Amino acid sequence: MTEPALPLPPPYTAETISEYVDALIGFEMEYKRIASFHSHEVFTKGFPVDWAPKYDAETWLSFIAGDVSEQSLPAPLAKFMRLARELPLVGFGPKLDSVEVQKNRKKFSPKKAYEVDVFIKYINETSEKFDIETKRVVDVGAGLGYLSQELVKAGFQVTAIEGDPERAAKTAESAGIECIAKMVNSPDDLDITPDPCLAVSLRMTPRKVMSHLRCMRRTFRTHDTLLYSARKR
Amino acid sequence: MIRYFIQHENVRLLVNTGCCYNRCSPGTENFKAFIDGDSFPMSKFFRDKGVKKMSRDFRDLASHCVKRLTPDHLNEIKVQAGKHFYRAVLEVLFVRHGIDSVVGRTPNSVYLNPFVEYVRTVVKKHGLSESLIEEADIIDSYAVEDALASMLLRRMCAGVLESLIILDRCMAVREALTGGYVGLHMLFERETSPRGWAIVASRS
Repeated sequence: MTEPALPLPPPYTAETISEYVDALIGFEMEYKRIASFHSHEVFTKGFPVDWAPKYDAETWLSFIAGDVSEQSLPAPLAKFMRLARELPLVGFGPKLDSVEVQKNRKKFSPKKAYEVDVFIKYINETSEKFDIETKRVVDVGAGLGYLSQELVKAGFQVTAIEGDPERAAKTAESAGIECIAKMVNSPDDLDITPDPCLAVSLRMTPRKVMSHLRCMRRTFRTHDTLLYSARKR
Repeated sequence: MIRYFIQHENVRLLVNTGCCYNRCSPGTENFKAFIDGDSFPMSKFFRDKGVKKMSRDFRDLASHCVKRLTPDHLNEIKVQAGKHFYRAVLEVLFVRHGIDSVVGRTPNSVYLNPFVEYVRTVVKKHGLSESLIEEADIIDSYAVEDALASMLLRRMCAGVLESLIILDRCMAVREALTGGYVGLHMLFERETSPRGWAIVASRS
């Protein structure tokens, strides 16, 4: 594990993380009208900035990729694109064609197969890095058990947690997986074992407020952005 | 999940790769302790900077993949721009007729047809006035480049918003874990699998 613990973009470092977060927040504040804009209102309400040129798709993508000099762009657009490109956290995962992905698994899309294989390899490497010997794993939000099944094949002892009863039942059919059907509403719901274990979750989607949000969304739309207390810079 | 790791000493290692930030709790005005708090912000570090919550729109946007905005994905972008364009022109008709309708998902194949067919599909699906179909030629007054610009500029904000969410979670774990290791690692190639940040924490 040779990557830095916090993959901040240059020139930021762990010592200047506060300045980095300020820069992220500053970007959000400056461009929140763009981020919160709904594209379907572009002809009825107008786009919130007047410096967005009418390029075709090829031109736009060349600019976004950085293939064209900033000097040929309107200054506000150049600034926006530079910040949008340079501020996010920096990280590169293993390329698809560099990973030995097991093929011919039932119901595994190439993306899912890639994710599972990379994830398990990573768990093994990380356990070794931190001298963790336990092979007991709690798979939180196990879904249909795809990851759990592969963890079992890789030699782990798996307890899967899944809130959807049908999915949990499906997962429980797999050999070697102890599946517990429960919605996780608090950390105590995961208090499954007192033994040393690893906790993993891959693509778990929290459903706690999902149905509630759907109802709310239909009755009104909130356009709040990040809210800040009144503060003076 | 993160709170589970913090609260239970027997959990030795945490590897958490999230998804669908739009489905997380948005946060509340009243701060609670990290253990009982909402999904954003989780860390005292962020709360001390005055960050209070993140709207559904922003969390939705944070899930988008900026790495797919490349010339290699030109056709995909053109198709998406076409969809946004049709929907935006339809909105003009809605406003003209005082309609406040949620269109919902429309099959991709509909967008391959002329705009009038798209309108016809929406009218039929939602039981709207057929006069909308007769006015479909308003599309000639608009340019897809406007819809494209708004779509792309908005999407370019995604990386920053995702960074805020992920860094906040990481900082929350750091604050709650004494000793050990806490870090962020990109597990997946972004073009293949967006939202590949893993929060990794170990007690040893």
